[in-house]
Amino acid sequence: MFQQASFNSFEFIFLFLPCVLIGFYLLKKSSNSNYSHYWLIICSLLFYSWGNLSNLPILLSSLVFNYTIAQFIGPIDTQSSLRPRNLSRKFFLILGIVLNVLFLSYYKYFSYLPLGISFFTIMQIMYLVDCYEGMLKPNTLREHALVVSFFPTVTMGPILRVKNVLTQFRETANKGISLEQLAPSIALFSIGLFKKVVIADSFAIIANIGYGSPSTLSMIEGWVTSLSYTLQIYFDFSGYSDMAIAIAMALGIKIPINFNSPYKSKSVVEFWQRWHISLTNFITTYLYTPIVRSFAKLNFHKAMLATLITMLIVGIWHGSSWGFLIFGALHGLGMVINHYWQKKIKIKLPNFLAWALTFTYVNVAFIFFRAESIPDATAVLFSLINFESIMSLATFKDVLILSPQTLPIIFSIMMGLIAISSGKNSNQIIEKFQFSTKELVLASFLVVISLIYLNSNVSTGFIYYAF
Amino acid sequence: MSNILDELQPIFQDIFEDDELSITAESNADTVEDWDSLAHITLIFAIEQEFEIKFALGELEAMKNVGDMVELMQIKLSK
Repeated sequence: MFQQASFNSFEFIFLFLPCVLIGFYLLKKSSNSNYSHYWLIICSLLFYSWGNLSNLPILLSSLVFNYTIAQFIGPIDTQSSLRPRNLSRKFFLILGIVLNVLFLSYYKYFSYLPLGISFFTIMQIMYLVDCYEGMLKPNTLREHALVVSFFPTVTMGPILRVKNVLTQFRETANKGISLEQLAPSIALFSIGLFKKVVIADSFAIIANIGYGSPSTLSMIEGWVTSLSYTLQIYFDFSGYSDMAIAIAMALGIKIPINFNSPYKSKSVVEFWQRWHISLTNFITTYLYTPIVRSFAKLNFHKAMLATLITMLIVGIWHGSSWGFLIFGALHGLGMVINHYWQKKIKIKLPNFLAWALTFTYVNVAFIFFRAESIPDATAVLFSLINFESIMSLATFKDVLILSPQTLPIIFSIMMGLIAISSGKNSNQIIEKFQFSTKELVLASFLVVISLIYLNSNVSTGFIYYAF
Repeated sequence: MSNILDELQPIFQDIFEDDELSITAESNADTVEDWDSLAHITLIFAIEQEFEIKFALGELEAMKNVGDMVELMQIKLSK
């Protein structure tokens, strides 16, 4: 089993990160601020190739291709000498988008999936559209490589806006960093690490048992299985996003949050405003809006159709299986019902009911996301209402004994449940962060526990690596 | 600035079906009820038609509140 570029390893945390940071800030002090960029590019490409060198040509070709297309598109107000007289800027935009989509589709549906391809392809499609619309001038190769290969986000997002990140690199060209500024970054990183390595990976063990034998699940087991995965994927992906944001913060770059307590949502529409926010923003602005614009006269029903199409695409963006398509369809349907209710029925549900309905619906949709096959998914789904076998816990008998193996899992599940009920998410915690002894002790505790778990056989790879 | 804001009021009131609605520069999806992506896109279309301007996709995402919207509109209308 090969290693993969990831944040949750000892080498990354104690070797790679400190080297990158030290090199970055030392080079910033030199005469040419571009040296720090080249350093970051080299480190990012090294990180990306770690354990799997064959991925690198794919990232590099995508990077160079999009850089080149953008040069052909050229700035909006001048005539690019590269463009042949009869080929317009729009031609190169369409060409760029089509080839990016084909590139992504080929790997996603017909071949293995190179790390991060779904994310850096989308980011560059946004970039091409922004170039075409004149939102920014085409990048130099250095600038383009800097943002696209940016190691905190290259593997799993958040999906960045190229212009925004480059502006920040320019604005912070001469800025160093103090311990006070580094502290919230370290704190956020430790929270993210804990969420992933301790909480998510422990819920994973429960979920894997359940999804490994879907036909034997009693009602309680069905709920435990599905809820475990629902919680696993949240802590996994949001934990990763926390770490990505934290590392970028340490480099002086602010990237937008990707999660905002999604399981507090009281509607499916709200859920997508709180879950994988960078993807939702891309989908809404660059997919939903153009689809809606293409309809001659917009009315409610056409907007609903656009919503459905958009969410189906979100589903299959995750992969080619029927499960992902159904996941997308369910969420599309949920949003349509949501809009319909708000617009036509207009009865406002009590908060608790709205929350319960939404959360249950989201939980059910994730069953199709996770299950190994459609029959498995329906088996888990029906176990939720399995009145023939309600209380049996036979499927989980191996985990229900107190042993050195199960104790860490039980501990982390408890931690997970405490984390959920505490009400504040990681962003809210960091906003109020103070460089005090109490905070540092807490952060150290999280890191130490995480490292112990990391060293054990609990820890696994990130879920969204598969996308 | 306030001129455009005044002209926007009836459009907002129509889209959100609320004659009492009064928007300010700070109004956005967080402060106005039922302002979701559907309302947003309907709003954009109505504004584009009424004022005969076109928003770039990248500009749509950058608008954080009505104030941003009005600023952008001023630039487009002055061209």
